[in-house]
Amino acid sequence: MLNIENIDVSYGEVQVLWDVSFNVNKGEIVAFVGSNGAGKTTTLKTISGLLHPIKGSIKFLDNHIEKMKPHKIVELGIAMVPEGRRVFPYLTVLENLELGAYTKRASQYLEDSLEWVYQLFPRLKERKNQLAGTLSGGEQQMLAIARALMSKAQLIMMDEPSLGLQPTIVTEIFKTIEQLNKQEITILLVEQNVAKALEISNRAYVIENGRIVLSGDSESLLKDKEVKKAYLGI
Amino acid sequence: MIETILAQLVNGLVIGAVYSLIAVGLTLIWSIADIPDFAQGGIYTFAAFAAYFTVTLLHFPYFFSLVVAVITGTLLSVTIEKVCYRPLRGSPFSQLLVAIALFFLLANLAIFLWTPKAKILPSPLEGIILNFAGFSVSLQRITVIAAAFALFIAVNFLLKRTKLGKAIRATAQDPETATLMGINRDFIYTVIFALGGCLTAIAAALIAPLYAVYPEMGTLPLLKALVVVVFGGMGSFIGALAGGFLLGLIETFGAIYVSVAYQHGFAFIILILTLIFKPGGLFGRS
Repeated sequence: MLNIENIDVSYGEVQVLWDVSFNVNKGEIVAFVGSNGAGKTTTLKTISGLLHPIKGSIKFLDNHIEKMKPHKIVELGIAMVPEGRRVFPYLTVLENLELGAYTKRASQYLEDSLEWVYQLFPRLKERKNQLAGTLSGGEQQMLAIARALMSKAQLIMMDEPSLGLQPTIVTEIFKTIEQLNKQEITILLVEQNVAKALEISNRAYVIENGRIVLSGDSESLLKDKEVKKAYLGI
Repeated sequence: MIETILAQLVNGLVIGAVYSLIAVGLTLIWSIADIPDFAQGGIYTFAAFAAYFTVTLLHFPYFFSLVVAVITGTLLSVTIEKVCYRPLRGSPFSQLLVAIALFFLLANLAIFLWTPKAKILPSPLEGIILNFAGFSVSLQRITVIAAAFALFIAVNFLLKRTKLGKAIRATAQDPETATLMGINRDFIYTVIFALGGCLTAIAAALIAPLYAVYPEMGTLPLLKALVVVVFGGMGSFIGALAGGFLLGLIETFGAIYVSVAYQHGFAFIILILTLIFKPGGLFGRS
């Protein structure tokens, strides 16, 4: 579904990704793990079109998207749950959700999608007329996920969805991700919570200093000595 | 006594309507595109001249000249964004310099084309005088105030109730995330510059019959509208609206009860006081 081949990405003079290649198949949860500054967020930003690779190609379904603008990529069916939630603070919950369905493709299903995400996150329905900035961190994360779902995307990328949330909410968020995957949504998950990410994902890539250093199915990575030592602290 | 106060109230609201109309567009452009769009001063002048020539050369009715002014202002504003600001996106300082250059360029182009001489734009509404128990006011003045309010209701509806309006507000709050929703930033920029040019043009064509049409006519309204943006709070629609009318009233009443000499100075006193005591502005968010 998503094929990334040999991309190099740089911020101005500073190169941050080196020869990164990976792929995501339909129906999978793929985890992308690594320490801070390894290049995880940069990878997601490049896929969503906020950054463009200086080399290499990104293919989604049958489209080359490495030179496309973000709003075109959303239209193709890739949605992002950005790091730090990034809900629109001075818009209501409902308005945030409506913007999630901004594209032509998604807007025709607006009412159905709303019903669906309200079912997934009943708390958002209760607070639909509240400004998003007044929600708690956990609720904002739910809103950010719901907003991405509104776009009717086939692939949803989540950047650190558990960051800064209390443990019970983290558990809830990961449950939701698994539940969404059962509804045939493909998920590319970036996480610093490596143990959790490997638990719920099918496959994973480990990235270090802008290079992919390890990959495989998540179960075997969980048992991998190197991974255990470097990321799981055991 | 009471008549003087009423007359000044009307004058204050008329000039305030002009400030508010320009400021609403400016505040949207400034908060979203990060450009203090000085070029709106030139757009104001060109829109007024477009109205003037529509009436005097082409002999169309005044109402039709309003439409011509709006088309002129909107196209000019959108073109300036596309040709002058867009290639410089990402370097706000260069954009600021270009904006100031356009401000002078358009005023001087108007002098070059049409000489500095002031011209009169005749409006049939100016000849209709309404009497309220001894107090009289021209229909033109009432029209300026009424049209401004009608436009504010329309803009408010656009921003609050429509999908496009939500996209504009989202872009103002978080431009990067807005593009991730599928919002085309270039399109939003075109819309806000069109809206700004349209409001500036209407203000110019509505007030032109009350004063005069001349190349420098955009200077003071533009500078004062910029003050209103800061005074009302950057990016705040209601701030631009209230701030514009407030400044109009302060100016007219200040001219009478303080001194005419300071009429154009009040705006800048307000600017200084705002920056010292309430840097976020009246309705600012931070």
